[in-house]
Amino acid sequence: MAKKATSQAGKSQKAVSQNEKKTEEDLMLEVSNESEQVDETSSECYCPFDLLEGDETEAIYASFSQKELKEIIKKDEEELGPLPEAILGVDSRSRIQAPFKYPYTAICSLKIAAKDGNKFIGTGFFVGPRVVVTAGHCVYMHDHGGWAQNIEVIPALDGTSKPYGSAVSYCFHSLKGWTNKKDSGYDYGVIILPENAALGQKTGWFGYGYKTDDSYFKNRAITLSGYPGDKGGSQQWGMSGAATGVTNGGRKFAYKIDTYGGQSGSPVWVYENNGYYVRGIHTTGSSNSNYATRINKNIFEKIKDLKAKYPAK
Amino acid sequence: MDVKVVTVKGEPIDGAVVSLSSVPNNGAFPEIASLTNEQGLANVICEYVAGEYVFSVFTDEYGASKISVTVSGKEEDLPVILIVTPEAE
Repeated sequence: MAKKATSQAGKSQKAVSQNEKKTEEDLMLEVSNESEQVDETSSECYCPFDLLEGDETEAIYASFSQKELKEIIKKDEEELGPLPEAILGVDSRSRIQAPFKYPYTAICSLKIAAKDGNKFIGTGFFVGPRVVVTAGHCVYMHDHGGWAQNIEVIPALDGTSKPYGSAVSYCFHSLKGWTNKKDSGYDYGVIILPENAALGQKTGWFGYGYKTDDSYFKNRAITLSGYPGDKGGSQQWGMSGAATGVTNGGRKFAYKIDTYGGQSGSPVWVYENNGYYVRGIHTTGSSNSNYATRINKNIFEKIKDLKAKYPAK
Repeated sequence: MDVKVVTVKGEPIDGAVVSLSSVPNNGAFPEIASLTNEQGLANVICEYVAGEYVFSVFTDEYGASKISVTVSGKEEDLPVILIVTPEAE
């Protein structure tokens, strides 16, 4: 199933961006026009401390180059086959048996402390050494004091095993469409890790991209993996399935993949061009379908900017 | 929605993971899980309306329990009591 999807999606990210730029710009213009008081697409940032002060970390300091990362992926695939199929196997939720293998290493359990003292569990994923993407409602909770007090990021958590340590962040980003308007179409958040805790260098990270063609999300083979609460929030579980189409004015897409509370912020990815590319961020469950915030051009650019702004040391 | 996770003896359970499986009217809900405090209390992020909610409660001692609760929609200030037992699921 994953191999078929690969051949269907033969375009490079760059080609897509150029060919479909006009359409996406039109979409962004519509978004801006809808906004009466707030530009939903603009960023909101909460960073009360100098990042260098975020010393509450058990980070393991190590890094490898892109070339080394490719070798790791190649070796894993030789051992396990194409990862989405080999590990998830059948079309139902399965425990990830090898969370220490890329790309599952790049998926993190989040222990979220809200401003009002409540605690939550979510999921995030690395897109760079210090940049972890998640759902907006994992970093900004309207009924719990707004921005989180702090979030502990634990890559590849497996029971009590923390193979890459963990890091506590106090620095978060989201979109005003989420923080000011609580619009689910803008339910996107980012966690910035302290400079001395660039855990992504060890775990590797996901690629990400956007497609402006809505039909791309019809019957597209996708994979989702995260930390569901019904399994205690300390085991990684995932499933492959099909996207069923876009919703919410094109800002979200739906799929028939089993998820549970705790998986908000999970990457929803495709395997294309010999790489793992996130197309959406899981945010919402329901009895009929589950939903992700779609990576659109705006979010794509925001992530790119944050990666540049917060590099590894 | 406030919930309180207790044993059959009424003892609060600290560190239980509470998540939603379904909400009334086939509604949608954010898939973030909540952790109980030492009083067994947690807040589950969802819209509070009348009808049946299905929760999953995971505790170290009892594992996962699935609990259905029907609320009137008029008692939002009171926590929903979720009783976990070894047999529940």
